[in-house]
Amino acid sequence: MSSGIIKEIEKKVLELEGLIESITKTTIFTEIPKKNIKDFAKWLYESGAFLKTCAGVDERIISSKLALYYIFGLDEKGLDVVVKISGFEREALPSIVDVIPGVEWCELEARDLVGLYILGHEDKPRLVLPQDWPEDAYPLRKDVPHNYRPQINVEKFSEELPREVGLPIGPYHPILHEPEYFELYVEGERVVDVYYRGFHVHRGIEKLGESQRFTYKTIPFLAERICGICGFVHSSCYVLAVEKAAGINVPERAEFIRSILLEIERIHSHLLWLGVVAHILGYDAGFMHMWRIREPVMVLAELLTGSRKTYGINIIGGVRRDIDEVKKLKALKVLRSVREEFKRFIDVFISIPEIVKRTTGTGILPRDIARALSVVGPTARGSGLKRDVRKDYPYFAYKYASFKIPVYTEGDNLARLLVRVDEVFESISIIEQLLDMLPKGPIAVESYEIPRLKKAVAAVEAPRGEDVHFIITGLDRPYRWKVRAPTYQNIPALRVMLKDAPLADAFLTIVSIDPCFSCTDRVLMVCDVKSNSKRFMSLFEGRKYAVK
Amino acid sequence: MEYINIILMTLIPLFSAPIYDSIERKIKAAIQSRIGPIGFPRSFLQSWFDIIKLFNKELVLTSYGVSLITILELILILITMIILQIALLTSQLYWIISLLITFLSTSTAFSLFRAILLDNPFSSIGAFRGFYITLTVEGFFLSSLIIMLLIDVSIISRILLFCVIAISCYVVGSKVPFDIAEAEPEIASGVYVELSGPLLAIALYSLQIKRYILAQILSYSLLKLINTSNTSVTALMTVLLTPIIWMIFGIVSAIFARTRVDVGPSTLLKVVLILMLLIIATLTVKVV
Amino acid sequence: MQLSRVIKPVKLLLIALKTGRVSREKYPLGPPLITDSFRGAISIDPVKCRGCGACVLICPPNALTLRFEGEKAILEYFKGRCIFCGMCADVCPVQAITVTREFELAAVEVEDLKEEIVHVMSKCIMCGRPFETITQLKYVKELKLITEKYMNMCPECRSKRVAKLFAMKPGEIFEIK
Ligand code: SF4
Ligand code: SF4
Repeated sequence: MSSGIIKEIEKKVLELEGLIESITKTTIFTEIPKKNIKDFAKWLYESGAFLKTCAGVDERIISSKLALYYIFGLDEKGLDVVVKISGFEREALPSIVDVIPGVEWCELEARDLVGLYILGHEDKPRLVLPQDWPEDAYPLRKDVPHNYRPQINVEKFSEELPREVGLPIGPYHPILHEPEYFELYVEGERVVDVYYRGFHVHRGIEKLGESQRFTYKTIPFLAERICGICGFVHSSCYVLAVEKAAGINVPERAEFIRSILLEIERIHSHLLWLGVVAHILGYDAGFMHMWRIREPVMVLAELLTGSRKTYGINIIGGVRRDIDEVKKLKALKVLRSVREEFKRFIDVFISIPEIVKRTTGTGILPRDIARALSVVGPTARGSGLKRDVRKDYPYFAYKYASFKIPVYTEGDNLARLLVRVDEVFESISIIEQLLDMLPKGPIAVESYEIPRLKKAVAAVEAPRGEDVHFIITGLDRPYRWKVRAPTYQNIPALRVMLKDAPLADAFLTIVSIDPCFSCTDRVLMVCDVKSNSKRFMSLFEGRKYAVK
Repeated sequence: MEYINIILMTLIPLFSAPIYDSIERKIKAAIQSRIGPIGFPRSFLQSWFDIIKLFNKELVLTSYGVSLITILELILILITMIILQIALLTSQLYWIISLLITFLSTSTAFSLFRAILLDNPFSSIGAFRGFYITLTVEGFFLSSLIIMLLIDVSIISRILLFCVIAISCYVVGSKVPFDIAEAEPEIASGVYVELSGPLLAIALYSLQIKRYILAQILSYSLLKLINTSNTSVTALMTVLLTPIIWMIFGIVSAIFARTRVDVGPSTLLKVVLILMLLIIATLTVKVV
Repeated sequence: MQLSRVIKPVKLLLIALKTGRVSREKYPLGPPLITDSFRGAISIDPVKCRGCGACVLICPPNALTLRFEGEKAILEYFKGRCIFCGMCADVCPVQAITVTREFELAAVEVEDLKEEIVHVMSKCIMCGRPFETITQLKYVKELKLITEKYMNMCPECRSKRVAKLFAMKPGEIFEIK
């Protein structure tokens, strides 16, 4: 991180009458008067910042205001910029959606859950909350108990149902593993528009983490359950955020172990995905063989942590299970054979004519739209954006390993597939390097203290992309814990990818971003991009447009 | 004697089609490094077990039209099968072959009916897709079959004709990559989602018999290709060759992925058209 | 070149042949496929456990609960909720909890998934309210953290009494009634 950019940001902040709250090694916290936020966001965006997310916070206990934190990341500099704007309860806040289109979801989320009054979103219907949720109950406000259950009013639900339905997929659909709702509008076999409604599995995890039910010590286990495939990413990201906020220095050995497990998780996740894609393309043999190759990786994870999934070994200040010499040798052996088997099989896999044909040129996401929506992970790397948290904001032990970031520029399904294939090999090599270098020492700190009202942003590269956790510390538990799963950032891009594509490819394209709906749904999202004119609009507008 | 032969020949597919299907499943499992149905009886009879089990399940009627069509289809396929056996045993009779062709083509019409009759848009899409795919090859299939069975042509033409028939049999039997009718439950499903219990059993049984018919037609064409003339030997040979062809189809389908509804037919059409042109060329050369 | 591309998909057969079949023939028979470090259900040693409640506090999903019924304190372990994290075993001061490798836990009745350890509570000599498990008190006694006189009192009576003591004038005699 260069101090030049910090100077520049400081200058800009002062110019816009804002103030710098604090500067840490990786993050700048600033507060900007709300009238100037647009200018600042625009300036940041133009200097190369990606939007990470934004988080509404009920700070009425602290400053009697409601606040909105925009989190930007300057990938090239490895620097996070957190910009806060705030206002009293009914005070209007400006939206920056016309500057940064990708921000719409999280602003709407803040409106729904924290009750922020953000201009420009007044007549958009509810996103996160169900239709029958009471008007003025904002679940993430501190005066709403975590176990608050409003009365159900079924009639309200039918209001949203469209009379004219395209081709509905979901919310319960045999092939969707999670309840999600897509409406595809088709002309013959061509998709002309898409409508998406999520959040059916919103579990209120953030609220739960802020409630009496959990403490700093137990939240890692909760965080791990945000995602069923990449749970360790979330627990790592949470502990990283807390450690950053509290300034805890984690022993090196623990960092290595975390990195190793994160890579194991990436391997198994990508193999799982490749299997699923094979299945969707009717190549069941591919599905079976991919998962056969994946199995030893799962067993390896169990050997190293005690559990195939939800490893449960992350605690604040370190890890709970060590990797001894025997396990290390075993791991190296497994990795060697996995690499060999994978190499042999992937060769066959990408030679199947139908697979090549059906992935080439379908579901294209152009680079500029990918940039505008700040997409992450293989979706971004398949569209020529070289974004990877492991390189951009080195965390844990990644700075010790040398690895490549595969980037493909085509932006189609094949590009995303190949990115993942390459990443499997890279991950295997990262683990091998880290295992070789594994330093001696303890695996967790003895004790630590977490001061109150410290803020931190942590990002971890999940198999699906950048996972962001934002934390404001409180007493015994976070005051605010905001999670932004990678899929949250990628789903808006789907509309661009699905439009004007054959219906038969629609599901493949949806799957190509490796969506993980329940991660995403821990809050809500909805967005809509009209691709040809590059105008961005809300999803609900999209439906009107589609029906017409 | 004739009659006994015919009855025997008809009984074989009735029993063995699901058995072949079970064996195919076992082979597929092996290709996918799975075990598949476990144990000796299940390895050979799993599809029978499935059918019996489905018969014991409750029946939910979604629409009478579809149920009627499903039952009629089974009857039609059974008739086709019987005619095929007669044709095999008495291949000199032209009228029986034309009858066979008629019945074979009717089954395509049936799949169209089915697609129209469905009021579930998902299944309708799937059914229409199935129909497109069949339609692509149907005409070439039947005409090649007529030439193959009725006209004495040169060996090169026969090889080409055999290729067309082989491809068509594979396609009409709706195997991967051409199983798109039932294959995309994520977006559009086939007819099967509309069927339950005994009806599904009937539909599956019809499909198996249909595959048997197709495999048998192909094995008969193979024999024609190498020009065996003795009818009773031919009939016996087809019965023996059918499972082999069935299994080869099974292996091929395990190796490939599914094609897309617009790509599949166009590629198929190209391939078959080229073959047909070649056939016409060889035929005219001979005439000249 | 073109040919090798066409042939490649067929290589699958070779791979399949080489690997053989990997699924298990008969699942419940034969040894389970878990490694040594596998974390399964926990088992609580009722003799060692003192009902201190440390495990209850740390258990993320509330699989361990401590409830009081009259003179009894009941530590309940509900396997249906357990996430097999093993945190409880880490914090137990007397190592009463061991993480087993058991994972086949299906039961017909939900009650079969629950295990209970019953502790008898000691009653306060002042107010008669049950306040702490007897085993825990014994341990406190061993540690000699407080004198026996105070030990059999509930925390409230204890603090009341201390307060009273502080409030006493020199020479006054305190009586236990
Ligand atoms: S921590 Fe140990 S001693 Fe305390 S209640 Fe739990 S099992 Fe018993
Ligand atoms: S293993 Fe974890 S979830 Fe299970 S009882 Fe212990 S602390 Fe609770």
